Amino acid sequence: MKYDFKQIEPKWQKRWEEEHAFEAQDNSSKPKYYNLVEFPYPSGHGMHVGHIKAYSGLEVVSRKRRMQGYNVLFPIGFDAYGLPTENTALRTISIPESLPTAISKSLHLSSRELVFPSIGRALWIPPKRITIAGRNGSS
Amino acid sequence: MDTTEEDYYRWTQWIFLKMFENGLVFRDNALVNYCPSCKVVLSNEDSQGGECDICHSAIVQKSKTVWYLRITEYADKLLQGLEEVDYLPNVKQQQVNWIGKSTGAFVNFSLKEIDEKLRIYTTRPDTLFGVTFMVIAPEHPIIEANRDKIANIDALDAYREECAKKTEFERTQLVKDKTGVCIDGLTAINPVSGKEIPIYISDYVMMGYGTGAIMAVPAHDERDWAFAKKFGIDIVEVIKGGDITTGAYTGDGEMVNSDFLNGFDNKKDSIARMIEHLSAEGIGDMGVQYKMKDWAFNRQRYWGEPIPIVHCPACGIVPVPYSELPLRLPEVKNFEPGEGGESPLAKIESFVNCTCPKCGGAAKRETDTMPQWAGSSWYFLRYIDPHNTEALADPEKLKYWMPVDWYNGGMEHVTRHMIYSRFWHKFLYDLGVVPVAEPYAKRTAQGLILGSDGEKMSKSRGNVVDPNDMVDVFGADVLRTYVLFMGDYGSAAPWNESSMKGCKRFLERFADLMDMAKGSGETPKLTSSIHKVIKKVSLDIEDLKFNTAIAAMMGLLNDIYDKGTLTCDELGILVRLLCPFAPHLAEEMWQDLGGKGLCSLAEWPLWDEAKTVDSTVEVAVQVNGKVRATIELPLNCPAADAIAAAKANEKIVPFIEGKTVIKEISIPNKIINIVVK
Repeated sequence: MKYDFKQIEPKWQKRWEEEHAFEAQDNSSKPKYYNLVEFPYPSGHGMHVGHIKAYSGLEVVSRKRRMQGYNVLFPIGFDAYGLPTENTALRTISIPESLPTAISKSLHLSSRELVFPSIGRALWIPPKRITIAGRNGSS
Repeated sequence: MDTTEEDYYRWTQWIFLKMFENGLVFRDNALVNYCPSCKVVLSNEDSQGGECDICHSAIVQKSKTVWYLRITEYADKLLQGLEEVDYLPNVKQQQVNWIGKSTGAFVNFSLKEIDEKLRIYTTRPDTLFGVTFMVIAPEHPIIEANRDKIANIDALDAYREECAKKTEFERTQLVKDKTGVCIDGLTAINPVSGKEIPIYISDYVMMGYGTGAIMAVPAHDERDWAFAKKFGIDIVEVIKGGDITTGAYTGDGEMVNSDFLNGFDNKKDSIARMIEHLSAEGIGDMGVQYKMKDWAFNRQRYWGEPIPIVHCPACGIVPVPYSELPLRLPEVKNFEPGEGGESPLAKIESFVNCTCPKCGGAAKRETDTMPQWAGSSWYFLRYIDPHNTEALADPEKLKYWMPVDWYNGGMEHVTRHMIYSRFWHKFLYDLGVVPVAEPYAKRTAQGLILGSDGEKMSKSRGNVVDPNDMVDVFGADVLRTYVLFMGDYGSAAPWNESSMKGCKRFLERFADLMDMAKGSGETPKLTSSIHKVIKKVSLDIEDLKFNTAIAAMMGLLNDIYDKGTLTCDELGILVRLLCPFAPHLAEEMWQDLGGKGLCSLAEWPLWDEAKTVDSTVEVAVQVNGKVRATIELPLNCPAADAIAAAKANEKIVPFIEGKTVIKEISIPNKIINIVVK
């Protein structure tokens, strides 16, 4: 079989999303497993390979647990208050513009769903998907 | 979910108010670490090494009234809780050190000139007879209170002025000459020997730590010894074993010059006996102290949760009613921090001016915001029920999901973030809001990814790798596989693109197995290799040994290509083993194999322990001591069968034909020796 990731990857991401394959269930008779990774703060620089390593460990464990019959919660969010975010905003956005607006516009961290298809789809709305200018093709 | 959403931070504020209600929130005027560049007050933890954790500027000391959370009240619970969790040993140790519990004694030293006592804390009450001087913080209030009795007050004032310019780090951590001034006019009395001893002020004693006063035992403490030598103070040996004329002796030994302790040679007993004496005489008590201090819970910046407190001229400090949460952060155009450490919120009159929730009179809002660590102190609870409007999360859902089974993150977060969040959680547990006392059942940590030059990735070094570029060129599956294959998960490892290409090659060869797989059932020659790999991958994932799990699959791939045969059933097993690492490729192959449903939800393969043992072994066959052939035999083949097989081997036949066999030896699974004449 020819390994054509450009064809395969979007195809299965779509299937997983359509079938809500990785959603945690609240009323399940299955044993639960709750995996947690430290949520990122919006740095304005997008995702770093360090994030990939930090999240892929328990991503693998979560996938194994689902195959072992567990109801798995493996969520992600944003730690968006605080100095790193504010300092980035002061550095990168043009004042006067209100910070919350600016942050929702430009500062969210890029979480390419193709890398972590099961993160962010665990239980609630997907994280606001950022698009750092020029990177993800959509902005 | 995002900590800045109103639906989220109203509950962060709710927890703060619950803590306020339960006496865990207080205000105190303190010397605080102030970053002149970020214009913000920092906790000790955020200014380690005397520099700002965020911008690395040198911090300065500033006097300010700030909010604190009484985390020290939970110090023991935080320590005890560590016994019931499965954290990496170094994670646990760092938390134990950070909390820094010590047991010792509080001792009251009388003063000769005035009817007041200096209270000190010591972990070594056994050495009390060796106390020959005391040191108090330059800021100690006893100085101000007794200015008129102190003959050299000018010298003290000058020294105190110099001190005020130094950071706590400079005062306590930097190795330098000990400085200090003896107080002329106040003399202490050693409470056990009754001797008069001098009192010094010195910058290395901080008011904020302990009682702001210490007892000094120069014979048995290096810092005290250096101080005593410099100022010509008596040095009295109370523990035998060293030469106190050349340096402090910090080891154990027999007690001397210590009255009722003389002859004791066990530190524990000496301490217990001394504490008994102190209690009986009313001069001291057993005491416990912690290195951990109360948590300076405030920030003079805009981008944080507003602290829901109102300052009323009539009622004092009044909490914002729960019904008014969230207390929203006002939208402003200018959020730059104010000069002198004022919060930018202080400039916004529409925010500051309010009515007192208690008396309805004009009042002012607190303008400090919560620190960085607030939102992350309970986020794992909100994940469980992110849209709940009635509670921070539904109790039934919390009961089902908590605790977090496995928490992985960076080593830099194992003290501050983890201890703060464990504190909040334990408080919520005491309130009955959460069902378990410990939030995280297990904690591990990953290592950094370094640049290809082996240095930390940074823009200035130009060694940063953008994961999006890697996904574009190699795909997500290759990137995932590579970051887990690059080295031990818990250690730092440098980026290596050729190793990434190796992972790409691995997945390509894996995909090619589709062309080889035929039929169903087992391939006997592969059975044990496959069961070994199922076992290895299953167990290695649990230990975060992803690199060896992937290496085992790579090895199996070589084995399969060597044998040149594989069934579809076997490929189905391998595809499921690969699935957590390279899920997209696994799904595609699973589908092509006719697998049911999604591979990601298919059943994880189980290994049969009996089949993890090799089914056949290679055995060397010697004739008269020389290896003439190697034959494959079933494991633990009976000797007679093994010898028969050896003798029938076409390479052996020429060596034994027409000769007399004298001896046949079979060492099972290893070697067969045939001796002929």
